[in-house]
Amino acid sequence: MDFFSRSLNLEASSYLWYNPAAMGDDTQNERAADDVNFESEEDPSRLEDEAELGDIGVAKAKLKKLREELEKCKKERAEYLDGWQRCKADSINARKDTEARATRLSEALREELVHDTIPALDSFDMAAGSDEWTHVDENWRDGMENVRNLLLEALRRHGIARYGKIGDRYDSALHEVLAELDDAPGESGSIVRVLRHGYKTADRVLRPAHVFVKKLL
Amino acid sequence: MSKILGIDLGTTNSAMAIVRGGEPAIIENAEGARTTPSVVAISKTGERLVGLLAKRQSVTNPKNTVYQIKRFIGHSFDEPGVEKDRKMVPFETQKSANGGIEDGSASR
Repeated sequence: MDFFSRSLNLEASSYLWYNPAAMGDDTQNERAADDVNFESEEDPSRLEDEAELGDIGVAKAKLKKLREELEKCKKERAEYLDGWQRCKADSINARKDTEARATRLSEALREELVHDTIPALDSFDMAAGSDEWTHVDENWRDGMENVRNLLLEALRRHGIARYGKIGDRYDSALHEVLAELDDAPGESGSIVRVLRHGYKTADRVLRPAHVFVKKLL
Repeated sequence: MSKILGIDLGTTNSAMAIVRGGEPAIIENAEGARTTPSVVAISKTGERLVGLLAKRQSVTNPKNTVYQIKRFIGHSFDEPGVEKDRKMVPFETQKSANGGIEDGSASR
């Protein structure tokens, strides 16, 4: 057995080293090893390069896609921000408008009441300006004038003033000129006759006065 | 953020509107009115007046108070319709360099 095993070993060793088939196998093995070596020395690097190149390509494509997405996001962000800012501004403006409208509404109601009251006062003024007015009983006349003054006082308490008197300087913000007179006494551009009085609040003319003015030179 | 102002330039009155919260809203003028007379004037004191104030002094200053100007906008001076309208207004009109119409006080 020992002999056989030794001879087998020898044979095996000779087989390993001298057997042409084994040689061929070895060569093949060597070639394979060479191939493996070649692959281990060259191909893996190429593969790595290719892999790297592939990775870079993929990364670049990914980067490009991300950049595009970023640009899209930036654009959308700007759009949304703009829309939000506009909405916010609109909301602030709407709130201010509502407040202003509420104030205006209360003023409008007050003005409406004044506008409805003014014709009565105009009638008083016309009556007081007529010739007959001087012929009526003095006490009765004083009484009627007091009634008018009470009405005017009531308006004054609500911040409404009556204006327009002869000799005042004409102002287009307050007066509406119905005629210019050449031969009237007074300074040029001054009011020579008041046809109807004007009414105003602190900051607004409710009704302009109708006047005649001395002709402006 | 800028807003767009829409102007309805009427022959007699004008109105201005903006969009508030998606809805158009007419703006009130300094006098609190929603419409403004389409009148401009140069007062005798040399002051430029617009709207209601210009209208109020029109009787005293007819030659320098311009109104109904929309009748002339876009027309040429020699058109028969324009000739008729020119006779109806107290302010001076003259032929402009391009054959249109300009107010006689345009230089001021």
